[in-house]
Amino acid sequence: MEQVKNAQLKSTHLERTQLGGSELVSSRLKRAGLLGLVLVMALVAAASGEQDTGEINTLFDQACDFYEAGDLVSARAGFEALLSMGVRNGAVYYNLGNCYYKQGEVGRAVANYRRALMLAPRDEDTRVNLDLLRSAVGTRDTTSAFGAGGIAQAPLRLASAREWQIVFYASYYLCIIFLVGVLFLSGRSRATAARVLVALVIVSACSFALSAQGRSLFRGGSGAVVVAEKTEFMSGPGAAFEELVKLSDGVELKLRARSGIWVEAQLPTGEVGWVREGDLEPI
Amino acid sequence: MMTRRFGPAVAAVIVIAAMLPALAFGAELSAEARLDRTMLGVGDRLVLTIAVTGASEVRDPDLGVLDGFRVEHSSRSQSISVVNFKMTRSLNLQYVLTALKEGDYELGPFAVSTGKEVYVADPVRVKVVKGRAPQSSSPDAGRGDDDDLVLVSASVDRTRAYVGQQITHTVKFAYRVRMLNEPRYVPAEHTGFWFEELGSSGPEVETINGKQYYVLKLRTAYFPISSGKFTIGKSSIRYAVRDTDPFSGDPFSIFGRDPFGRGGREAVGETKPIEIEVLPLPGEGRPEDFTGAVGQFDMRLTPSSRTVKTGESLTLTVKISGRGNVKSIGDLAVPEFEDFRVFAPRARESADVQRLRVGGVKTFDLVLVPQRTGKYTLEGFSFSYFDPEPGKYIMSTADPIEIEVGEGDEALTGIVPGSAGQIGVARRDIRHIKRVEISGNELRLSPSGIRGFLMRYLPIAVALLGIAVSIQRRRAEVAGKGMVRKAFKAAMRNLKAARALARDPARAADAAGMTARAVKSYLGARTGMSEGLVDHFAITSTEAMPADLRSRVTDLIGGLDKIRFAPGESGAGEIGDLVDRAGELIRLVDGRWNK
Repeated sequence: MEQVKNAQLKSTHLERTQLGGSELVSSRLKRAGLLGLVLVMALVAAASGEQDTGEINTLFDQACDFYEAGDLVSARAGFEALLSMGVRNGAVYYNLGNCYYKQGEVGRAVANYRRALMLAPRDEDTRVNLDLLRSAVGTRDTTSAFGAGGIAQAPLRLASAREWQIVFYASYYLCIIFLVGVLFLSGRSRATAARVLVALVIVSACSFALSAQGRSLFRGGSGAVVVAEKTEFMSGPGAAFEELVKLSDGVELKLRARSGIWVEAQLPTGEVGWVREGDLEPI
Repeated sequence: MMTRRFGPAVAAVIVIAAMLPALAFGAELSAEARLDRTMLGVGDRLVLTIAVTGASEVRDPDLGVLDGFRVEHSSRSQSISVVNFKMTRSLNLQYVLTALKEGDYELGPFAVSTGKEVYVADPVRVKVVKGRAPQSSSPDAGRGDDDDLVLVSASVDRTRAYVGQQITHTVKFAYRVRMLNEPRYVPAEHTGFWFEELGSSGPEVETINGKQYYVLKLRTAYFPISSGKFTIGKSSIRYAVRDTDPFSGDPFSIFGRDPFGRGGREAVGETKPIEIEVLPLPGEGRPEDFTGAVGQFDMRLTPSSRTVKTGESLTLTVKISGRGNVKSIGDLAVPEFEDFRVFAPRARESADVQRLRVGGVKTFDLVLVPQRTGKYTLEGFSFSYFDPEPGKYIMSTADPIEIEVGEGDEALTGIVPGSAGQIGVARRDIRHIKRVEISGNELRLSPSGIRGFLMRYLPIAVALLGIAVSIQRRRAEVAGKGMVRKAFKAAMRNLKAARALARDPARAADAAGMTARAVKSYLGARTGMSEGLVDHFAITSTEAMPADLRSRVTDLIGGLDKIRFAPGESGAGEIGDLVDRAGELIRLVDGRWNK
C-alpha cells in the first residue's frame, strides 16, 4: 500500500517535472493566450459601442416633436443641424426625407431616402417611401437599373458599410487568435487553425474592401437627383444645344462628366445628356 | 501593467463623457411686445412686433379687441439656431395697425400659447393725436463733400407716395480722388418703411460742376407702411483716399507722395435726410378682399393636368406676379368647390428687381382631390390691389379653367405632396418618421482616443507578442537538442572509460557505476530531468521512449546495479558485455527517440 502511494507521488512529481523546460514555456503561453483572448473580446465589445449620444438624441427628439406638431421648417432645420454636427444616421436621413417630401420637395426627399438606405440598407420604411416617390416620379430602382454597378454593389444592399466594418473587425480579431493558434499548436490542431486563418484573412480583406467602398459611395458617389421643378436635359453642355427632354423633380441620374456648370448624366433608361449642376443634388 | 498605465486616461474619458449631458442647457422662454413708434396721427399706421424667443411651437396670439386700431395685415418670420446641442427658435409676429381715433392707448398684454404653456408679453403704450404726429428726424444736414474731391448726395424718385408705394432712394457717391479700398455704405434710418436693397451701379464717369468724377450709385427701395410725414434719414459712406486726381492727366502727380498709398486718409461722407409725404390709401372703392397689396399685379391659374381621376390629386398653381412689394400680398381667397377635397394652399414668394422696380411672384399651390366624375369649371379666383399710378383699386381675376374628372383606379397609389402641416393623401402616404435611439455615426465605427487606438493596434501587438514568444520557444527547443547531443557524446566517452576499467576485475563495480551514470545522464538530458531522478519508475513512465526500449533500459540498469552492489557475483566478462549493451542501447534510444 505504502509502495503504491509512493509510486503515485512519484508519478505526480514526474509529471510536474516533465512540464519543466519548454513545456513550462508552453503553459505560460497558454495563460498569456487566454488573457489575450479576453482582451480581444473586450475590444470587440468596445468597437460595437459608441460615444455618449445623449445630446444628439435630445436634438433628434426635438426635431421629431417639431415634425409631429406640423412645424416642418423647424423639424428640417433640426435634422440638418444633426447632419452638420457630423451625425451620419439612417433615421436622421429618413426623417429629413419625410420633411422634404411633406414640403413638396420630392427630389431632396429621394436624395435623403437614398442616403438613409446606404446607412440602413434593410430598412423597410425607407424602401417603401422611396418606392412610393419613385412610382410618383415615374422612375424605377436606379441602383439596379444602372447595370454593372448595381451587381458590384449588391453586398452593400445586404449590409451597410458599418456592418461590413464590424465583420472586418471581428474577422481581424479572429485572425489574430488563429495566428496565435498556428504559432503554438501542433499536429492536426495546427493544420486546422492554419486553414481557418486563411479563410479569415479572405473574409477580412473582402469586408474591408466593401466597407471602404460603402463609405466612398456615401461620401460622393456618381449618383444625383433632380431637385428643380423642371430642368432641361440637353444634348450638349450649354443652353444652345438641343433640348432632349425636360426632367422633373425627383428623377435620378448617374453622373459621368462635368463641363463648367453642366454635368453629363445618364438616365435610368440609358439616355445620356447634359443637365445644369445647380438643378441636381449629388448623392 | 496596461490597466495601470491607461487607467487614469480611461477614467478621465468616462468622467468627461458623463459630464457632457450637463453641458446642454435649455433655451430661456420669453415674449416681448414692441412698437415702431409711440405717437401717431389718426389714420396712420404702426407696426406691432411680438417677439417670442425659445418656444418650440407658437400659435398666433389672440390680439383681442384693439380699441382704436384696426389690424391691416400680419406676417411672421423666424430664425433657428443650435447652441450647445439645443435648438432655439426666435419668432417675430408683426402686425400693421391703423389708428382709428385719438387717445392714449395701452395695447396688450398679449398671451402667446405654445399649446402647453402660455407666455405673456407686457403691454405697450401708444398715443394717437389728431392730424399728423411730429416726426423724429435729424435736423442736421449732412455734408457729403470733401473739398470737392468727393461728393455724396441722396435723392428720391418721389417725395409724395401712397402707403405701400415704392420710393427709390439713390445715394450718389462721386469722387475724383484715388480710393484706397472699397467704400462702405451704411443705409439710412428707415423708421416707418420696409425696404429692399436694389444694388449699386458704376462707377461711371460724369461731369459735375465742370469737373469729371467717377460716380457710384447705391439704390434702395422704401415702402412706407403708414401715412404721414416721414424722413429717410442720413446715409453715410466711409472711404479711404489718396489725394491724387485720377483725371489730372499728370503722370508725375504721384511724386511727393507715397507710391504705395500709405499716405491715405479715411473719411465719412453723409447725405442729407429727405422728407417724404405718405398719402393714405383711399377708403373709397376699397374692395372687401383687399389685403394691402400696392403696385401692378397680374393673376394666373395653371392646373397640373386638364384630366384627372377621382381620388387622384390635382395641383392648381395660382401665381400673382408684377411690380410692387409681394410681401404685402395676403392669403389667397379660395373659392368653394363642390365635389373636391381642397387642401390648404402652400405659399411661396420670390422677389426680383426690374428697371429699379421691386417686384416678384407669390405662388400658391392648391391641392384638389376630385370626389366625383364629370366636367368642371374652376373659377372664382380673384385678387385686389391698389395701383398708385391711377390712384385706384383694381381687381385681377384669373381666367377659368376646365378639367375633366374620370373614374379613378382603386389600385392606384398616387401621392399628394401636401403643404406644411396639411398632408394630402390620395391612397397611400409615406411611412411615419422614426423615433429611435440614434448613435452618432452609422457610416463607420469611430471610437476615438485610446479606445480607437487599442481597437486597431492591440490585436497587432498581441500577434507580435505571440510571434516573439514562438521564436523564443523555437530557440529553446534548438538549445535542448544541443544539450542532448552533448549528453550523447559525454555518455559515449564515459562508456569508453568504463570499458577500460572493466578489463580489471577488481574495478568491475566502478565500471558498472560509470556505465550507469552514462546511461542516466543521457536519459536525464533527454527528459529534462536531473540525473539523480532517473530511476526505474521514471524510465518506465517516460512515454516518449518506445516501450520495448524501456524494458531493455531497466534490465540494463538492473544488471549494472547488481555488479555495483554485489561485485563478487559477476565476472569481468559480464561487466564488459553490459558496457557494450549500454553503448548499443544509448545509440538505439537516440536514433528512435529522434524519429
